Amino acid sequence: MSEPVDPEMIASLRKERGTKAPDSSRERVAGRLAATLPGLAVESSSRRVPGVENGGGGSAGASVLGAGPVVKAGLVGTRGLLALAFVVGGGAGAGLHAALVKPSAPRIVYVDRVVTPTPTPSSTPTSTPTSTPTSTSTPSSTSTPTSTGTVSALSPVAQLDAERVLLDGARRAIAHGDAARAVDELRRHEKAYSKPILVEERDALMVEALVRAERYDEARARADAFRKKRPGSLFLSAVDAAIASIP
Amino acid sequence: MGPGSKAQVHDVGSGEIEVHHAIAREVRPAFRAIFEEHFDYVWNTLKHLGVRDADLEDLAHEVFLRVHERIEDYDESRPIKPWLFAFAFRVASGHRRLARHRLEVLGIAVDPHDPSLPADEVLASRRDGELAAAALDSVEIDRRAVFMLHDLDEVPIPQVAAALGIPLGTAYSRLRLAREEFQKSAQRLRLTRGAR
Repeated sequence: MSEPVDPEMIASLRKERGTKAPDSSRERVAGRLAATLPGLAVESSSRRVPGVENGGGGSAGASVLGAGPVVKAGLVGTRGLLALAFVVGGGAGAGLHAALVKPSAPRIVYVDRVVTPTPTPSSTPTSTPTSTPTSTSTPSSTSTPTSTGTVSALSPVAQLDAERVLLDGARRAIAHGDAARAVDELRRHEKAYSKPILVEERDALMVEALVRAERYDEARARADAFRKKRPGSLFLSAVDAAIASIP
Repeated sequence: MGPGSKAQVHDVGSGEIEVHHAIAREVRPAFRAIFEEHFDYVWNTLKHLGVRDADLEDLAHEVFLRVHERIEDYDESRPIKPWLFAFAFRVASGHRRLARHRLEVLGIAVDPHDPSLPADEVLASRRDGELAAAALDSVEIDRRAVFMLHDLDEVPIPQVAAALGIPLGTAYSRLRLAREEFQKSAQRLRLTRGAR
């Protein structure tokens, strides 16, 4: 064994390892987790404060992870603000938020049900958050109803926020060159929302992610299904551009 | 055994959602507690494994997604930090491979660490911290993981080996090499600063 390293350096590094992460980052990650794992977002629709945004797409359910029985007093100052805002201006905030959300409406297409041209439930075992616990009793009956039941409990505005967080994550993954992660994020969205609001955006992103992941056959199949199902979609040009970029 | 293992199915028909809620009630508090108590640890681990500030949120999110997926595997009789570290290490390793490729393609110099300490730190402490962080950054990531877990987090080497899924001898070997790399880098950095 070699000589131990300089104790002062070790002490300095240990001190750094105890540094607190930025509260804003913690909140954004919590919000993204709540959106990605709808089972954790059940309470968020009633607890989150419409109109109090945290910047970017990370606001949905940002306080969810701390809103349960293990919440600790004074954990994050922002949560106090959220709670206060909830009490003081919940109704007004809801109206304000609804107004704020409207400008992005042109990008939203409401459909009855998502179409999944190439469903591959077994290919993404790690993306089913709650499938493990009951796998011995009803492995197939717990995954889909879980998502369906959970997400249907969200208000449209909360669902829209949550979906946007998820799609933002996929978009960011594509931008970072991690197409596989983008596909995973989009599949989580597919599983989480039986009646998605941002279905066209999701499907278009999926085509792009599959192209970036060099899964060309799947991308073409998804693109064909997209064109048939949504010939007038605003996202059609993005789908076509993604397919055209296949070498 | 994990927190969700006691979930039971009472009603397959309309009770499907109730089943989910029963599971969620058990999993959620445990996961929440892990998130609340160890977010800082995961954050700093990713940072010390060389993840750039701009990517920390994405990767912390990824780590906790994986933690959630595998929460049933966690043995509560064992310390949680090595278990969490392993998730962070795998995520950071994968990310570094992608990041290196991306930066090389773009012709951008790789600067994996962005040293930033709280503003209220005194200058001397800050310089020491930056020097130590820079020295740590020079250690190859597989060896750095062992070094961080053992020398910084004070995890016994057998637990380090178990957490990272490597043979015990490999863990000792990586620790020895990591310490050498760290020491050499620290000395070099000190000389460089002293010459200024």
